[in-house]
Amino acid sequence: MVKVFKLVIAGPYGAGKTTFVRTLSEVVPIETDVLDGNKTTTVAFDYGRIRVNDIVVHIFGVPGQERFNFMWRIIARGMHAYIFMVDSTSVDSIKAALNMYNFFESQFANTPHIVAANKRDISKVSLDDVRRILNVPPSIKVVPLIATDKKMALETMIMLLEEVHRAMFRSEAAKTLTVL
Amino acid sequence: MSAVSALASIVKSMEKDLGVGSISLVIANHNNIIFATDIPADQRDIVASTISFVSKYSSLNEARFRNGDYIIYVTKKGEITLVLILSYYELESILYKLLNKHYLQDIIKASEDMLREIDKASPELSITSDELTEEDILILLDFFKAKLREVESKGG
Repeated sequence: MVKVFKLVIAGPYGAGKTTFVRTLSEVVPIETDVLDGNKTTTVAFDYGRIRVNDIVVHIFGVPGQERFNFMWRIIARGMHAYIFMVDSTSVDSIKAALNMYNFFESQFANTPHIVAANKRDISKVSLDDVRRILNVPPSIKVVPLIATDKKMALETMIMLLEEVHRAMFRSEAAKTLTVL
Repeated sequence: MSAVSALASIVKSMEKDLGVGSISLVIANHNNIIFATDIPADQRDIVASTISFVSKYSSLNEARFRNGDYIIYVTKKGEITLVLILSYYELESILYKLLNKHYLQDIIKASEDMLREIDKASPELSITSDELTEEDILILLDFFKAKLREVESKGG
């Protein structure tokens, strides 16, 4: 049976989620935000996929607008991990992500994640400031990212998977201790 | 034109033709929302609950109810559930016109096109599979590390 690793890319509108999915995916991502003139913003979701032997990595981008927050929980259901992405070019763009980050951090407290500070090529805000503004817990990594850069996108994936592996080890160790 | 653009265009035509200020449309495939336009903030929870409710009752194909200042109209065809949200005062006068015109059929058709686009890429929102083991995660790690080495060797 094919196994599934479900990864969710969360973050506000304009954080670079679609670009990240496009950089990593083996399939053309499904269309997401579409501006219809200046009136209607239409949403579906970003979707990408990578197959590794018998494991399929499904990558879902969450619509960033707060008015679609009822979809966040639906898309996040069953995820194994998530990357929270922010446009780190300015303090204001990071502050705009605060509500969404609080939502994910509180609703999915036990799900491994990292925070990706995107657009580092044009950012003047330090990673420490990103952490401070979003109030990211010390145990969670804040990593630099340029979503168009395949090398950085792969490094981000590796860091996330290391977090997932660590979380699995922790839980296995906890189970062993309980048995003992 | 993609299915998403087609749906946005249909909503725009409906608003223009029926002379209403704003129509919100949500489309779900079973319990999964696959399309949504702007939804009034105080209607989001009821819309999500309605989709969940309708998807569980196969015999329920159409419903209309009032919630605050809005009328929520739900119709289901096969795997597709459509939810229309309009101002109560506007919808009362145009509902008959809305339901007897080609719009709903057009929306259903565009939704089916969208489902086909989604199926083509095979995403699974409600995923079930065997539990991932530590070995599976290590396989994924090795894969991405190998990809990284490949990119680095190309000078990327």
